[in-house]
Amino acid sequence: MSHRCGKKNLAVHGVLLLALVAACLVSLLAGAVPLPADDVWHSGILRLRLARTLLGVVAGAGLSAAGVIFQAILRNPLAEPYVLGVSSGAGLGAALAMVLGLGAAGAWTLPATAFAGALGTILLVYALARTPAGAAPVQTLLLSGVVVSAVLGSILMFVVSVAPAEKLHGIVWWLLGNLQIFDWGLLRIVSAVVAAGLAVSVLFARDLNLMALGEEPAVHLGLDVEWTKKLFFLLASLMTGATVAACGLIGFVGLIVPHTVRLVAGPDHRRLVPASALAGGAFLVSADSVARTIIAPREVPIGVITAILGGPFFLGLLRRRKASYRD
Amino acid sequence: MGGKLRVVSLAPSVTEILFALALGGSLVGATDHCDYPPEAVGIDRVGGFGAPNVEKLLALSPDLVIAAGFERAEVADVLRRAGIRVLDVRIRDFEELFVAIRQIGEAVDRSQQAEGVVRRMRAELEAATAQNGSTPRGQRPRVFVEIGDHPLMTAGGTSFLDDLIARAGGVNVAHEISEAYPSVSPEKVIEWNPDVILVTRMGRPGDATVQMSRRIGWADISAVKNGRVIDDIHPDLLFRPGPRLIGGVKALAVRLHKPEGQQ
Repeated sequence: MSHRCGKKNLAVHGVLLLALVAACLVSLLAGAVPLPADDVWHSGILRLRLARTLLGVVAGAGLSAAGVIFQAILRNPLAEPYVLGVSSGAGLGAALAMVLGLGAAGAWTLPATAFAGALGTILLVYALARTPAGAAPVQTLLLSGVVVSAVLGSILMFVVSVAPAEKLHGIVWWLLGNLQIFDWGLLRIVSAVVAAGLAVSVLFARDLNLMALGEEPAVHLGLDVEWTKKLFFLLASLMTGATVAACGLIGFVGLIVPHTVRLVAGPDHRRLVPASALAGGAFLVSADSVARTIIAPREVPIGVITAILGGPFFLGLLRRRKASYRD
Repeated sequence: MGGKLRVVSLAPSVTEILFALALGGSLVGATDHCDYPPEAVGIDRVGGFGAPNVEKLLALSPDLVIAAGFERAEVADVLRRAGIRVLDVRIRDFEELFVAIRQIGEAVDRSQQAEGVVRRMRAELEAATAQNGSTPRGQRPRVFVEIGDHPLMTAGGTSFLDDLIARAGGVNVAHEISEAYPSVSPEKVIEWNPDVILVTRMGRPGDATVQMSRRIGWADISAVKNGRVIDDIHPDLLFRPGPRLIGGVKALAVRLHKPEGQQ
């Protein structure tokens, strides 16, 4: 049994890794302009495209892994990285930074305010959901997340409504996400956060399996449920926050990649977390190749592409596997 | 005309044109963004650019409302039904600016002054562009405009800036893109390899050059390498289609004709 499982692991991860490598190659070769034939290795275009491709891998992996985690600890198939209001909080931070012109203070202000908004929101949601005994019941978490998200979303809409016309474009773009990156430092930080988050998640993936059974069975099986919840809550929030800080809000990836991978690879989180990370990276890098080339040299926000490409694909898969989705 | 004309301006550019026609005194309402000349700041505010609060506007009982585009077209109809004259001008390049100044002059009974303003602007414009006449288009400095960096946004062929750059003696690298303010891929800018980058958002002068040289792959762009990043021309001189645009052309022309490395 475990032997066969190991083989299947290898096959799934092998195929996804190949897909990721292929997606990266396409992404490096495709773009708004052809790569210069002479001196490709020293061309700024290649370096820029490499950074952008790496950000796509990291962001796709981070969002997908965060989606898996939120779906497991909230035991809700609709859960995704933004379900508890990270998107509204980060969006509010970014929109305020843009409207107030904080960007003039340096290229780092926007990612920093978005990250602060994301983490602030998640901490607020957790604090609101905590009972005096120190537990954070899943239903309360979800409800406080939805309400905090709605309130922050309304404030965000207020900021958008009073924003001067010339700033609107930037805000809308940020809310739809894009992988434009100008700075190796930002890429390094985001990569480090996502890599650390992934590593710890894979290490404790067995606990996610127990959590997915339900909190009571998990307690009976000897799991410290509250500690596990807190740990994964933090991991998923950090990965989401770092990704959002660098790329804005890229929807859909964190919802459909985990479900798609679950249909193919099964529900075991020891397999699901790394497989989702690989698939998410491949998907987002591919979506960005489309976003950069479809009306080049102009660009399309990547969130538009992920929804248009991902939605029908996932629905097709769902219909084909309808009978077996429940197991 | 009995009594003094009461005018409301719905665009900062229109306000500046009215002041240039010495009609600042007739302005009873302006937008939140009308901040030039300094006298304009004291005028009653009626709302945003092309987006007035209709009640507030009607309360000022104007005879004439001059706009440069309405956010919602119905507003113009509402005003007309209330018996107010509405003039909506459209300004996308210098020729349209001159037409608009004449239209506004006609509407406020200042045709002669408008003619004078246009003549003066034309003369200044010609003086500013005279030195470009001999340079063939292929040898003029190629300019990339950076309006925003998140995402990268520039000025396309149908924008006023495209015309302004041409008059200042440069060539807009994004001239072929028909949209006015498109988002472009950063790698396209590397391929364009502009001689000059014009940054139009406000920041501390000099910051943009440093920021751009740190961008991945941008250090090799000619403008960045040679320090020809211009970030100290006030955006109103570049974007606000009124009489002060001539100042924008002059400022840009001076910078474009400086030899390399002396930005």
